[in-house]
Amino acid sequence: MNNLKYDLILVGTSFASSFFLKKYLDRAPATARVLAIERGMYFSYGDRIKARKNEIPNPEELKSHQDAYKSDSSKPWYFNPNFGGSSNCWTGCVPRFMPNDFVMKTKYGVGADWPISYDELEPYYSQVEEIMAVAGPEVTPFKKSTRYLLPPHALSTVDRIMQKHYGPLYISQPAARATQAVGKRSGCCSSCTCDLCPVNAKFTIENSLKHLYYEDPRVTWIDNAQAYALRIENNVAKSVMVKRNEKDEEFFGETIGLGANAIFNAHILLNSGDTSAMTGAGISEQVGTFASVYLDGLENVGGSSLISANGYMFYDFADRSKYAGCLIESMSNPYIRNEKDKWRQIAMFKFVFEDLPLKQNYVAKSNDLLKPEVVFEGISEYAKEGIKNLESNVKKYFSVLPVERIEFDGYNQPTEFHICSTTRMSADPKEGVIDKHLVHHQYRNVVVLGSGAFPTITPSNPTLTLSALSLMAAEHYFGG
Amino acid sequence: MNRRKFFRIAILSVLGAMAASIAAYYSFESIIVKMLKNDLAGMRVNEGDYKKFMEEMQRTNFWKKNAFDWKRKSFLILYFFLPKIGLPYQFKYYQIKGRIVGQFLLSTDFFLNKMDRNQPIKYIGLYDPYLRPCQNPFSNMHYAS
Repeated sequence: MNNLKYDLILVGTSFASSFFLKKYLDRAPATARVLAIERGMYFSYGDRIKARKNEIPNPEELKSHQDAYKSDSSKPWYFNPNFGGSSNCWTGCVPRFMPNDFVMKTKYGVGADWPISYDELEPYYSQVEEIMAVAGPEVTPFKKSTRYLLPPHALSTVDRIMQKHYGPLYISQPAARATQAVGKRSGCCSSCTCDLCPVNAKFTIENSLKHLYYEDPRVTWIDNAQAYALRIENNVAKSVMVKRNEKDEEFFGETIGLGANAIFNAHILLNSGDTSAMTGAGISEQVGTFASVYLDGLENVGGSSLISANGYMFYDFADRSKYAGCLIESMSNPYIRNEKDKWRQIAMFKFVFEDLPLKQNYVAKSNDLLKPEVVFEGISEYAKEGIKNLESNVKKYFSVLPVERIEFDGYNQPTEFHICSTTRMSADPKEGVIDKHLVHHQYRNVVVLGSGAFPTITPSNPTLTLSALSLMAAEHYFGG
Repeated sequence: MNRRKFFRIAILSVLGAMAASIAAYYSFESIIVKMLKNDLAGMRVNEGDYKKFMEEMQRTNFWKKNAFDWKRKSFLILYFFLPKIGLPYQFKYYQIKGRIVGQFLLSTDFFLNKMDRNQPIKYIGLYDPYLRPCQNPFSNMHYAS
């Protein structure tokens, strides 16, 4: 047993924890003591590149999502349980949510309203965008009080036609893939392997926030340590139970921040005796599918980065009360059309649909304290209906291009690499696990971070929003 | 077993037997080379470059890294020989084939030369952003707006 009591214990070192930690350290006294508990190891960017080039093997102790949980469902849930978490493998897409994403019930009669509004979160969006040095356009479909730090990624010839017709509903994708050198990052040069950027242009915890863990004397972090439960006494969390090097350890803290991910945050709470029916319930994410647009005489060139643009034409629209909204991603990787002299007369788009958290999809305890069970029965009818309407919407909105034919993949991607909604925020404790500031309804010294907080799953990528929520939560919890 | 299930199993068995017989005569690699030659007929590709490409694909574990397991390989082999008349998953075959042809052309200077068919195509080395970053030939690095 370690009798030292920390002011703050954070579980995980990914976006949710790191942004919370950053805000905390900005206002904490020099005497503050923080412990960050990381399940995996530190595997540097340089070594990841070497491993990708087959110059070195991946270390045996590098943790993977595989075997981290149990499930009978074929649906995979991906994450990177090592230092920096999924910042090591994300793509760097950071669109904001649309204001109506926060009022789905009121506006469209679907899902639930969030207990916070877009306007409340807006300043924190700006702060995260600055920290991530986001590249983005002047005009966006969501209102902004600040400009993006870096110039936008270049639109392709196809994107430019779309933007001409749809204006602010078709924009250069806001991206944490730098368009020019910034900090320790290079400028993106469109290698399009963003999961591990060959030139380190993408924001990662390692290249931008590692100093929080390595240089701030107030912070200690331990690796290869899996937090699996909290010791709760009279609704107060006293300590975090950890398995490290196959031994049990216990760390005491004043405040506990859970920033593992939506599977493990819920699992830790369930292992700690949280009996709320909402804890673990509703695991979900977006649903993506591709289509290829064969162009008549138009070469699709000049776009930068992996995803050059986002389309919002059927994201927040009248029929959203009937079926799921969709975010369009214009792909700029070097795919071809295998026809002579028409090699690049093709455009590939991804269509990402929102879903709803359903009670039949959930995280539960298993007979192994370290391994949650994930039950996933399938996506909502709302999302299915959105996908059914894809073909007609694409024909309608893409007719501004010189289209020869459109080929729909006809199947959904197995995952969008996001895990959401297992510890939803709510005004009423019966409808969620945490309040609008991410504080657990019952355990008031436990802050549950990350996209598990989302009451609904919007079509947009979750990282920017979950990071903004972390900043807001830390500011509220520790005083403004 | 109902009729539909019976026919499905029968068709799959016939296709499986066909794939096995073809595989006995042709290696996967030789079929990929045939595929490339067919699709790039009339273009000025040096014969030896197909071999270089295949060797590099093998050496760098491209097939394994890109989920070309035995099922996908058999699918490709089979569809290469079958007449393309309303086969199920035909578009998938064209998609995968297009990806391989694309990988070959990206490993040459063809796209960097703005797809000029009059120039001889020179093999550079297997397209790999980790060996040569910034070489996406369709990006703004090569086509300024």
